[in-house]
Amino acid sequence: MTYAIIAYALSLLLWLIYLLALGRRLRAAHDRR
Amino acid sequence: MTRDVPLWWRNGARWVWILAAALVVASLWMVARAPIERIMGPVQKIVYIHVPSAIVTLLAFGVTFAAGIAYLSTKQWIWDAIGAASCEVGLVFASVVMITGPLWARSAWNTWWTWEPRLTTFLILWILYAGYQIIRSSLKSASKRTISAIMGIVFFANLPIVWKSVEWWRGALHPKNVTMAPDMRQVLLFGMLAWFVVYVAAFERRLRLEWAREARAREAHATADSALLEARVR
Repeated sequence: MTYAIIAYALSLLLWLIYLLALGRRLRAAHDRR
Repeated sequence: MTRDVPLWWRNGARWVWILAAALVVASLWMVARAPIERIMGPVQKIVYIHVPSAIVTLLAFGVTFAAGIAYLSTKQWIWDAIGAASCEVGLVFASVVMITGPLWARSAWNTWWTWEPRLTTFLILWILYAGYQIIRSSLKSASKRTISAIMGIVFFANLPIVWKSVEWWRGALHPKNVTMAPDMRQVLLFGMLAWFVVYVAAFERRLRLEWAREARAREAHATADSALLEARVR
Protein backbone atom coordinates (compact mmCIF):
# COMPACT_ATOMS: atom_id res chain seq x y z
CA MET A 1 0.00 0.00 0.00
CA THR A 2 2.76 2.44 0.99
CA TYR A 3 4.63 1.89 -2.28
CA ALA A 4 1.51 2.56 -4.33
CA ILE A 5 0.88 5.83 -2.49
CA ILE A 6 4.54 6.87 -2.88
CA ALA A 7 4.39 6.04 -6.60
CA TYR A 8 1.29 8.15 -7.18
CA ALA A 9 2.47 10.99 -4.93
CA LEU A 10 5.88 11.24 -6.66
CA SER A 11 4.33 11.08 -10.13
CA LEU A 12 1.81 13.82 -9.36
CA LEU A 13 4.54 15.90 -7.71
CA LEU A 14 6.71 15.60 -10.82
CA TRP A 15 3.82 16.77 -12.97
CA LEU A 16 3.11 19.66 -10.64
CA ILE A 17 6.73 20.83 -10.68
CA TYR A 18 6.93 20.49 -14.48
CA LEU A 19 3.72 22.39 -15.14
CA LEU A 20 4.62 25.18 -12.70
CA ALA A 21 8.05 25.52 -14.32
CA LEU A 22 6.45 25.53 -17.77
CA GLY A 23 4.09 28.31 -16.68
CA ARG A 24 7.03 30.39 -15.50
CA ARG A 25 8.95 29.84 -18.73
CA LEU A 26 5.89 30.83 -20.71
CA ARG A 27 5.42 34.03 -18.71
CA ALA A 28 9.09 34.88 -19.09
CA ALA A 29 8.86 34.42 -22.88
CA HIS A 30 5.92 36.83 -23.03
CA ASP A 31 7.34 39.48 -20.70
CA ARG A 32 10.84 39.78 -22.09
CA ARG A 33 11.29 42.53 -24.63
CA MET B 1 3.14 36.93 -35.71
CA THR B 2 2.04 37.83 -32.18
CA ARG B 3 3.66 36.40 -29.08
CA ASP B 4 0.52 34.61 -28.04
CA VAL B 5 -1.36 32.04 -30.07
CA PRO B 6 -4.73 32.88 -31.72
CA LEU B 7 -7.82 33.27 -29.53
CA TRP B 8 -9.57 30.09 -30.73
CA TRP B 9 -6.48 28.15 -29.69
CA ARG B 10 -6.38 29.72 -26.21
CA ASN B 11 -10.07 29.08 -25.64
CA GLY B 12 -9.84 25.50 -26.85
CA ALA B 13 -6.81 24.89 -24.65
CA ARG B 14 -8.74 25.96 -21.56
CA TRP B 15 -11.33 23.25 -22.19
CA VAL B 16 -8.66 20.64 -22.78
CA TRP B 17 -7.12 21.54 -19.41
CA ILE B 18 -10.47 21.29 -17.62
CA LEU B 19 -11.08 17.92 -19.29
CA ALA B 20 -7.59 16.68 -18.39
CA ALA B 21 -7.95 17.66 -14.73
CA ALA B 22 -11.40 16.07 -14.50
CA LEU B 23 -10.22 12.85 -16.13
CA VAL B 24 -7.17 12.56 -13.87
CA VAL B 25 -9.28 13.08 -10.75
CA ALA B 26 -11.80 10.52 -12.02
CA SER B 27 -8.97 8.12 -12.87
CA LEU B 28 -7.47 8.43 -9.37
CA TRP B 29 -10.90 7.86 -7.89
CA MET B 30 -11.29 4.71 -10.00
CA VAL B 31 -7.83 3.52 -8.97
CA ALA B 32 -8.73 3.97 -5.29
CA ARG B 33 -11.90 1.96 -5.79
CA ALA B 34 -10.41 -0.71 -8.07
CA PRO B 35 -10.43 -4.28 -6.76
CA ILE B 36 -7.34 -5.34 -4.84
CA GLU B 37 -5.27 -7.94 -6.61
CA ARG B 38 -5.12 -11.28 -4.77
CA ILE B 39 -1.36 -11.95 -4.79
CA MET B 40 0.29 -8.51 -4.91
CA GLY B 41 -2.24 -6.58 -2.91
CA PRO B 42 -2.74 -2.79 -3.27
CA VAL B 43 0.75 -2.31 -4.76
CA GLN B 44 -0.60 -3.70 -8.04
CA LYS B 45 -2.48 -0.39 -8.43
CA ILE B 46 0.80 1.19 -9.58
CA VAL B 47 0.05 -0.43 -12.93
CA TYR B 48 -2.77 2.08 -13.57
CA ILE B 49 -0.29 4.96 -13.85
CA HIS B 50 2.81 3.03 -14.97
CA VAL B 51 1.37 1.44 -18.12
CA PRO B 52 -0.60 4.48 -19.40
CA SER B 53 2.49 6.68 -18.89
CA ALA B 54 4.63 4.18 -20.82
CA ILE B 55 2.15 4.06 -23.72
CA VAL B 56 1.90 7.87 -23.86
CA THR B 57 5.73 8.09 -23.76
CA LEU B 58 5.92 5.98 -26.91
CA LEU B 59 3.21 8.07 -28.55
CA ALA B 60 4.95 11.35 -27.66
CA PHE B 61 8.28 10.21 -29.07
CA GLY B 62 6.40 8.92 -32.13
CA VAL B 63 5.11 12.46 -32.67
CA THR B 64 8.68 13.79 -32.35
CA PHE B 65 9.79 11.25 -34.97
CA ALA B 66 7.02 12.22 -37.42
CA ALA B 67 7.61 15.94 -36.80
CA GLY B 68 11.34 15.40 -37.45
CA ILE B 69 10.59 13.92 -40.87
CA ALA B 70 8.10 16.71 -41.61
CA TYR B 71 10.66 19.36 -40.61
CA LEU B 72 13.43 17.92 -42.76
CA SER B 73 11.14 17.77 -45.79
CA THR B 74 9.42 21.17 -45.40
CA LYS B 75 11.87 23.20 -43.23
CA GLN B 76 8.91 24.91 -41.54
CA TRP B 77 9.59 26.05 -37.98
CA ILE B 78 6.26 24.71 -36.66
CA TRP B 79 7.36 21.08 -37.20
CA ASP B 80 10.48 21.69 -35.17
CA ALA B 81 8.32 23.28 -32.45
CA ILE B 82 5.93 20.32 -32.45
CA GLY B 83 8.80 17.83 -32.24
CA ALA B 84 10.53 19.63 -29.38
CA ALA B 85 7.29 20.14 -27.43
CA SER B 86 6.25 16.52 -27.74
CA CYS B 87 9.72 15.29 -26.82
CA GLU B 88 9.82 17.29 -23.59
CA VAL B 89 6.36 16.20 -22.47
CA GLY B 90 7.25 12.62 -23.44
CA LEU B 91 10.30 12.82 -21.20
CA VAL B 92 8.07 13.75 -18.24
CA PHE B 93 5.96 10.66 -18.93
CA ALA B 94 9.09 8.54 -19.28
CA SER B 95 10.27 9.88 -15.91
CA VAL B 96 6.96 8.86 -14.34
CA VAL B 97 7.55 5.36 -15.74
CA MET B 98 11.07 5.39 -14.27
CA ILE B 99 9.76 6.48 -10.85
CA THR B 100 6.85 4.06 -10.61
CA GLY B 101 8.74 1.10 -12.12
CA PRO B 102 11.25 0.51 -9.30
CA LEU B 103 8.48 0.86 -6.69
CA TRP B 104 6.61 -1.92 -8.46
CA ALA B 105 9.80 -3.96 -8.86
CA ARG B 106 10.58 -3.74 -5.14
CA SER B 107 7.26 -5.35 -4.32
CA ALA B 108 6.88 -7.75 -7.22
CA TRP B 109 10.46 -8.88 -7.85
CA ASN B 110 12.05 -7.97 -4.52
CA THR B 111 14.56 -5.62 -6.11
CA TRP B 112 14.57 -1.90 -6.99
CA TRP B 113 16.34 -2.49 -10.25
CA THR B 114 17.34 -5.43 -12.40
CA TRP B 115 18.95 -5.50 -15.84
CA GLU B 116 15.90 -7.05 -17.38
CA PRO B 117 15.38 -6.45 -21.16
CA ARG B 118 12.57 -3.93 -20.91
CA LEU B 119 14.06 -2.05 -17.96
CA THR B 120 17.40 -1.80 -19.73
CA THR B 121 15.98 -0.71 -23.09
CA PHE B 122 13.64 1.80 -21.42
CA LEU B 123 16.52 3.26 -19.44
CA ILE B 124 18.42 3.68 -22.72
CA LEU B 125 15.33 5.39 -24.15
CA TRP B 126 15.17 7.78 -21.21
CA ILE B 127 18.88 8.62 -21.51
CA LEU B 128 18.60 9.20 -25.28
CA TYR B 129 15.70 11.63 -24.98
CA ALA B 130 17.22 13.37 -21.95
CA GLY B 131 20.27 13.77 -24.21
CA TYR B 132 18.01 15.28 -26.87
CA GLN B 133 16.96 17.98 -24.39
CA ILE B 134 20.52 18.74 -23.33
CA ILE B 135 21.88 18.88 -26.87
CA ARG B 136 18.97 20.96 -28.18
CA SER B 137 19.22 23.50 -25.38
CA SER B 138 22.97 23.84 -25.91
CA LEU B 139 22.65 24.63 -29.63
CA LYS B 140 22.33 28.21 -30.74
CA SER B 141 23.22 27.91 -34.39
CA ALA B 142 20.93 27.74 -37.39
CA SER B 143 21.46 23.98 -37.51
CA LYS B 144 19.67 23.56 -34.14
CA ARG B 145 16.42 22.54 -35.81
CA THR B 146 17.99 20.16 -38.27
CA ILE B 147 20.04 18.47 -35.54
CA SER B 148 16.94 18.17 -33.31
CA ALA B 149 14.96 16.61 -36.16
CA ILE B 150 17.73 14.11 -36.87
CA MET B 151 17.93 13.18 -33.16
CA GLY B 152 14.16 12.72 -33.05
CA ILE B 153 14.33 10.36 -36.02
CA VAL B 154 17.44 8.40 -35.02
CA PHE B 155 16.48 7.92 -31.35
CA PHE B 156 13.10 6.59 -32.42
CA ALA B 157 14.87 3.41 -33.57
CA ASN B 158 14.97 2.38 -29.90
CA LEU B 159 11.18 2.38 -29.53
CA PRO B 160 10.42 -0.87 -31.38
CA ILE B 161 13.27 -2.44 -29.38
CA VAL B 162 11.59 -1.41 -26.09
CA TRP B 163 8.29 -2.74 -27.39
CA LYS B 164 9.68 -6.09 -28.59
CA SER B 165 12.32 -6.53 -25.86
CA VAL B 166 10.17 -8.94 -23.85
CA GLU B 167 9.87 -11.21 -26.89
CA TRP B 168 13.42 -10.93 -28.20
CA TRP B 169 15.39 -11.61 -25.05
CA ARG B 170 15.14 -14.22 -22.35
CA GLY B 171 14.86 -13.31 -18.70
CA ALA B 172 12.03 -10.84 -19.24
CA LEU B 173 10.09 -10.10 -16.09
CA HIS B 174 7.59 -7.90 -17.90
CA PRO B 175 4.73 -10.01 -19.23
CA LYS B 176 4.21 -10.34 -23.00
CA ASN B 177 0.50 -9.96 -22.60
CA VAL B 178 -1.75 -9.65 -19.60
CA THR B 179 -5.24 -10.91 -19.04
CA MET B 180 -6.95 -8.63 -16.57
CA ALA B 181 -10.30 -8.90 -14.89
CA PRO B 182 -12.80 -6.66 -16.76
CA ASP B 183 -13.20 -4.24 -13.83
CA MET B 184 -9.42 -3.84 -13.61
CA ARG B 185 -9.02 -3.46 -17.37
CA GLN B 186 -11.63 -0.73 -17.33
CA VAL B 187 -9.58 1.26 -14.78
CA LEU B 188 -6.45 0.78 -16.91
CA LEU B 189 -8.15 1.90 -20.12
CA PHE B 190 -9.64 4.92 -18.40
CA GLY B 191 -6.18 5.78 -17.05
CA MET B 192 -4.83 5.65 -20.61
CA LEU B 193 -7.50 8.08 -21.77
CA ALA B 194 -6.90 10.44 -18.83
CA TRP B 195 -3.12 10.56 -19.28
CA PHE B 196 -3.47 10.92 -23.03
CA VAL B 197 -5.55 14.06 -22.50
CA VAL B 198 -2.91 15.30 -20.03
CA TYR B 199 -0.37 14.76 -22.81
CA VAL B 200 -2.45 16.84 -25.24
CA ALA B 201 -2.87 19.63 -22.68
CA ALA B 202 0.80 19.73 -21.66
CA PHE B 203 1.90 19.48 -25.30
CA GLU B 204 -0.28 22.46 -26.19
CA ARG B 205 1.23 24.49 -23.36
CA ARG B 206 4.78 23.57 -24.34
CA LEU B 207 4.05 24.35 -27.98
CA ARG B 208 2.87 27.82 -26.92
CA LEU B 209 6.31 28.40 -25.42
CA GLU B 210 7.94 27.58 -28.76
CA TRP B 211 5.45 29.93 -30.42
CA ALA B 212 6.35 32.81 -28.08
CA ARG B 213 10.07 32.21 -28.60
CA GLU B 214 9.66 32.15 -32.38
CA ALA B 215 7.66 35.40 -32.28
CA ARG B 216 10.33 37.02 -30.11
CA ALA B 217 13.10 35.89 -32.45
CA ARG B 218 11.23 37.39 -35.41
CA GLU B 219 10.69 40.66 -33.52
CA ALA B 220 14.42 40.86 -32.78
CA HIS B 221 15.17 40.11 -36.42
CA ALA B 222 12.80 42.82 -37.62
CA THR B 223 14.30 45.35 -35.21
CA ALA B 224 17.81 44.51 -36.40
CA ASP B 225 16.70 44.85 -40.04
CA SER B 226 15.11 48.25 -39.52
CA ALA B 227 18.17 49.47 -37.61
CA LEU B 228 20.37 48.38 -40.50
CA LEU B 229 18.10 50.13 -42.99
CA GLU B 230 18.16 53.32 -40.91
CA ALA B 231 21.95 53.23 -40.77
CA ARG B 232 22.11 52.89 -44.55
CA VAL B 233 19.72 55.82 -45.12
CA ARG B 234 21.92 58.01 -42.95
